[in-house]
Amino acid sequence: MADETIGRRTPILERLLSAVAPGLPQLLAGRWGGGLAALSVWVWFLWLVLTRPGRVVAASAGTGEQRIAVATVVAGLVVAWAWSWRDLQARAAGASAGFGGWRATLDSFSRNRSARLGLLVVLLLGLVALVAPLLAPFDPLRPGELLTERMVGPSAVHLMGTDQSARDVLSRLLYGARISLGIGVLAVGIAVTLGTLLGAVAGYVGGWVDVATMRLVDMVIAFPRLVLLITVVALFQSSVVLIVVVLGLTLWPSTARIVRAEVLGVREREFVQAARALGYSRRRIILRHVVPNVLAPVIVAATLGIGDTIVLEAGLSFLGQGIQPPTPSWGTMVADGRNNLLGAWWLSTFPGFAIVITVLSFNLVGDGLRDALDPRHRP
Amino acid sequence: MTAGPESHLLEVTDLRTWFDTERGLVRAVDGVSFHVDSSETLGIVGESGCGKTVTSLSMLGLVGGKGRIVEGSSIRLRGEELVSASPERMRSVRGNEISMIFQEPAASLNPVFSVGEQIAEVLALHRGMDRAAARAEAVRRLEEVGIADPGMRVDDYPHQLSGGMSQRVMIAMALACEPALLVADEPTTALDMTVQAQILQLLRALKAKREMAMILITHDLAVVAEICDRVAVMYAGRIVETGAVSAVFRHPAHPYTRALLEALPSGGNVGPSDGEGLGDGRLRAIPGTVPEPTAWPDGCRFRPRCPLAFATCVHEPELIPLPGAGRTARCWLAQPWGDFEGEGLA
Repeated sequence: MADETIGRRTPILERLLSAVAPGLPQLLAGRWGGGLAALSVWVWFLWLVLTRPGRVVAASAGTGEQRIAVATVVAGLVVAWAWSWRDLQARAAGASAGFGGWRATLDSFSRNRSARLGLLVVLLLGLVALVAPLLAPFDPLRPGELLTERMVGPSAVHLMGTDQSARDVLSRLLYGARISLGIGVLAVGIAVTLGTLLGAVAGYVGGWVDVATMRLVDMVIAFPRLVLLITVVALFQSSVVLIVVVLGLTLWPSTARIVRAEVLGVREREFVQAARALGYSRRRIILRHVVPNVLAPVIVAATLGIGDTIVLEAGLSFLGQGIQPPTPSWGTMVADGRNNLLGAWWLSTFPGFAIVITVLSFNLVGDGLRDALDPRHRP
Repeated sequence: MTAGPESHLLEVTDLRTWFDTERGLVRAVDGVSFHVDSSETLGIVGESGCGKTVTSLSMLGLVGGKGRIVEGSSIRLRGEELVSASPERMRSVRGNEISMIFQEPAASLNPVFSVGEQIAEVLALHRGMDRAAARAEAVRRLEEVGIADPGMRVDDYPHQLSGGMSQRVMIAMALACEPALLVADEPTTALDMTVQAQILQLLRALKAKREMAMILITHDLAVVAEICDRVAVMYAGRIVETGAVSAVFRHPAHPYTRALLEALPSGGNVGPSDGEGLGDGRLRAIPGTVPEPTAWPDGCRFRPRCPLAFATCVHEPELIPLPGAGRTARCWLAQPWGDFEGEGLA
């Protein structure tokens, strides 16, 4: 009993450290994952606010895009600080409450080095995309001095050079991350949700429901996706929402097929029968007992899908049918630079690299998640 | 001893569960009647393919796919007809009033949830408990089924448990809502001998504590002798003999029952007593196999394999009441004028 009361008191020094530099106490305790994340978010966002207070104030009264950036910064600071504080208290109190299901997944994931790297890059890209308006050194849309600043190579002022309209490539790249990642994540989110539900219902219920769903899948898959996209975009006015919806509605069949095939196997396992014998409804069995058991391939498919979608959007924009200029998207940027590839290599190279790194990172994360989510792979 | 139909906890009358398959009509269960009372354990024994498992699934309304319970069948729980009950009503019966445990305990648990979550889910559904209460109750249930250190084990995943522990967890889940009847389908077959004994011990203790009825489906006569009060022997979709375990085992009236007992290494208290019929202490396999369920033999279904078959056996006998409480047998030789002896007479 005596030990417990002593254990509950967090050392003053640690608390102080946590208040000033959240994550540092954890880092000193040798817990790299959470500590490093909290500390770097804290330092980075604090640096953003302190170096450009004027922009932060202006952005918080600005457009929705800019407000998202400010909200991200505020949320990041609060979360990093609160996490560190509460983590210290939880440690001092000893045991953590609740079901520890996620603990094992996290542990397994964090042991996987390449997955860790992938996640780091993905998170970084995500944060960069969110705070782009505060981070970008120049306006990504407004042309600069066309006579003197057009297609200037990388320099201290323009780290990645300027393009044909004398706009800063780095700034456009940062804003482009919003478009590319946003479209990738949203479209795949729609596709995976739709595909998982339809595939699970088709596989579990069977009969005519299964037949109807799978014929629909065949039909959608038989349609050349790029042609469909170009047609739809040509018929309606191209917009981000339109592209997201069309991509989402064309990507779900592959997920549905994977899920259905997995469900056909899981459906026959004894724990599903046991769930029936416990009086669970069909909906509960599908959503709570069958779907979680088929999620591993879905997650892999989804992360690969995000990469695919980013490439697809880039291709569409490259063809001039996707994101319309002057809005920056990585695909448009690659397309714009292709005529000057020899003279001004930086125009296409940097956005091209951004695409490659993003897709690669998502794939690494997908692989790591697949191993981590499957309890049988845990030691 | 024979009680009126209203007083039985579960009464199954003329149950027929048939499957329409490509190979033809499979009459897996073909006119089965039995009953169970509170605090009683009924054993249903027979070889593989006799319809034991389909019988138990029928009781829970879990015959899916191409199977159907034929009209005229009746399953009554405390007088309430379950065959015609709504799906909603059946869902509230399952896991709550009738529970079932299965042969493969490790496969019967959902691999992606901790055992605590799985027990908590049953409680949340049928008892409306909130998360914290359900978890606390889950720990108590684990302790009740003899899991050491339940406070830690509650967060374990199924793959971290041994077969015996998995079966204990399954029992905890099945009994979480204190059902009136537990159907155990080969609950110990997948476990090794010492664990089998422990699980049977546990089932018996829990049953006694809750005054719960139990139907034990098994092909293992030793298990029946160990734990059951009454036994029903199934062959080819029908019940061929019923009665108190001691009476049936000591004086089997049906040649199939006798053959089953003689196929058993005699462990002392199991098997027909010496000097009776073929009981010369030698192990005997039953010749042949259970016939295809698409084509049960005409007349007595055991006739092709029966050593005592004679002309009358081309007509199928009814279940003939014998002296002794609840004793019946479906064999012409068991007729009251036939050859029988034993305690049932007194």
